[in-house]
Amino acid sequence: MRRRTFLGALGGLGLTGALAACGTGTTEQVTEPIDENTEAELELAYWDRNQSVTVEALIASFTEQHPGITVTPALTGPTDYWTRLRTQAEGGNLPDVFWMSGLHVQLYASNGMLAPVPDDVDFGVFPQAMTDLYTMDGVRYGIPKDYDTIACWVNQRLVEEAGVTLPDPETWTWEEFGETTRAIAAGLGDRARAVVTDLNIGGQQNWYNTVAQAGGYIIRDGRSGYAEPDTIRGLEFWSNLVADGVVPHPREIADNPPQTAFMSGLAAIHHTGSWETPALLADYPDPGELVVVPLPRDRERASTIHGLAYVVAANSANLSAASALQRHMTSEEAGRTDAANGTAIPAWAGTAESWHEVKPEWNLSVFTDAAENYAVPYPVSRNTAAWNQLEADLLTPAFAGDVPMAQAAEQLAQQMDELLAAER
Amino acid sequence: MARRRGPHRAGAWPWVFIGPLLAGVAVFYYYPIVSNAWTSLTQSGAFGTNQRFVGLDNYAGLVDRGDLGTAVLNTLGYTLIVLLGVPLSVMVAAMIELPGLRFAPLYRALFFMPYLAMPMAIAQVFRLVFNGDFGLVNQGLRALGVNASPYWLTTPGFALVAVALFGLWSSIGFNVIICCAGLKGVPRELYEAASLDGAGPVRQFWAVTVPMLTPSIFFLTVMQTIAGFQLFDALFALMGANNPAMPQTRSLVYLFYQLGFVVNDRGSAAAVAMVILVFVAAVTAVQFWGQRRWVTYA
Repeated sequence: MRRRTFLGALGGLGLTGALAACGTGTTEQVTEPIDENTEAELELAYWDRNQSVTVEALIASFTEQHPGITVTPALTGPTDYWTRLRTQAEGGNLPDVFWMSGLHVQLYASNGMLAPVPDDVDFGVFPQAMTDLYTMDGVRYGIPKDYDTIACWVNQRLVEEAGVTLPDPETWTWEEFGETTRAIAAGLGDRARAVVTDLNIGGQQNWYNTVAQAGGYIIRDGRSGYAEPDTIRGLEFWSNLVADGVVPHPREIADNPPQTAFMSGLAAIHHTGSWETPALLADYPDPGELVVVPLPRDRERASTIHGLAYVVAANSANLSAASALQRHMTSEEAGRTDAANGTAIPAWAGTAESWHEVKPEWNLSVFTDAAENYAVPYPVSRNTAAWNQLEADLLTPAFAGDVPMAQAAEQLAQQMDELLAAER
Repeated sequence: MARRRGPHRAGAWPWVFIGPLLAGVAVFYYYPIVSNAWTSLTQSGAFGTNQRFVGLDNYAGLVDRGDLGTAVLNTLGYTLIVLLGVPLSVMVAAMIELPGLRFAPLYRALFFMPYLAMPMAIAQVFRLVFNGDFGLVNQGLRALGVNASPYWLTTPGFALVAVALFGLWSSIGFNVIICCAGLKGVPRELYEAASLDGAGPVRQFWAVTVPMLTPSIFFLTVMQTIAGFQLFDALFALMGANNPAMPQTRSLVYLFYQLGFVVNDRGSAAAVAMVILVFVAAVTAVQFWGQRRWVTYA
């Protein structure tokens, strides 16, 4: 740790700028094999308290193999994590190994903050979309740890009370989804909402999926897809549902979050991700009434896949040891530990089966089936957060029906293209 | 001649005494201001790398996008509503300090208490008060027969008013204490004289209390204006970052936060910070210049 603090102090003198610059553009990482005699002190940063069990168990098995290496876990809350990480990056004092999300990976990679993953790591065991998410300009910057996909959580009791039978969810279309949910809304009246989804926090849970189902896209070859007619159709899926009273108005969603509504039995369908599993397992009052069904299809089937990766800081003082730890945290053993603890769907192929077992009657295999057969990657660029903000600012009024969707989408496409051009 | 040279003999001593303080102010206030002014004229990568000079581009960009204008108007609107708390506090304080009032210390404590509570905790309570479906305000409105009650914190327009009402409510405690302290300094003879001249309580309030309190009123106005211009925490705690009404409700400081810490645009964020600085400095200067016309220093 002393050494790292010293490096941090150097950062104040502008020396780390030069060090970081050395990292930029390097595609080959210089790591030497380590053995049980290697000595190093490593810091590992992550943001989810629910996963501490897994993280600590894996650190223990790592240090057992490498007694000379000390690993200090650093847990920061999910909101503060990125503020802290940015400050650490600016001061040249990043943790050796840390969690990364698709949203931020290109920002850190393009600024030379991340060490490339050694070539001998086998990415064949991970979903392709996850590997792609952490690859920039042909260089891999992170090893996938876990993933999530999107589906519909259904409260079967409410659907029944509304007097509605769900069509075969393996084949249902947008049209059937619309008819069914309108019938649920009519049947439930003021008692509960037919469909909830958070339209205020970005498209991952909702419009990224329907845009892909409609045959549109969010970003491709560095250009925005928002002005495409198919993309607009995917967006209108939601403004139509809001207009029909099937999905609550964004104002209502902001005041009463979908998670709370669904957890309290005030919503029949929650259109969201597999990440709800641990919370529902822990707190849902009557687990027997829940089931997961796939998203409806339009022109295509689609479900957004996203997940976390372990990355290594480019300026880590112990690159070889850090790289070994990164591999260990994303190994098959790690996948099994993650699955057994039920925290997240492990990225390692074949380890997810035990994750299904945490609640067989919920039909959780819908999520892994989506990942294997029809997942679309989470859209990112070098500064994803910048146009995410535009999406929130411009699309929300259109979902609410205050602005025509086509107009909002075209405006968004234009402004997003300006931001994307500035990234280069 | 010898006497006139007296003051100069202090030599370096004044610097020794004010030096440490001045060094602190220079390092923690003046240096950041200068550094920020420079940053506002540059654009750089998210981590401060590849900094390059772009002149006034960041300022022009802010004006073009229209975000700045909205943020200025919101900040002014919020500040004006919160400033209504000053006359309100003067009235409350004047009533608490009425001669012969029983339990006056208790009332003072009651009004001051909210000032001691954590703003974040109060904000959580106000979120419930303003909740569109279950909130206290809307339940009250429904009881009165108003059925089209709004989602206070998530509807543009209403959100700013709700946040400002929260700000006003939170400022009362501090304001009342300052006014009470000011009233303690008003000689009782003035009231006796006014009373002998035939002035009733209302006339006494306007002719004695208010003029004698003008230094406190001036102090509070300046402080609340500066606090209003720095509006951030109330917005963040009450509305949250993913609020659909945020684009129409953003204050200047919120815009600064969003540009600097969410979308990684350091140059534009620094430009907003400069606007805030100039804004606060200008308004405070105007207030100090204007005080000669209405503040009475007894």
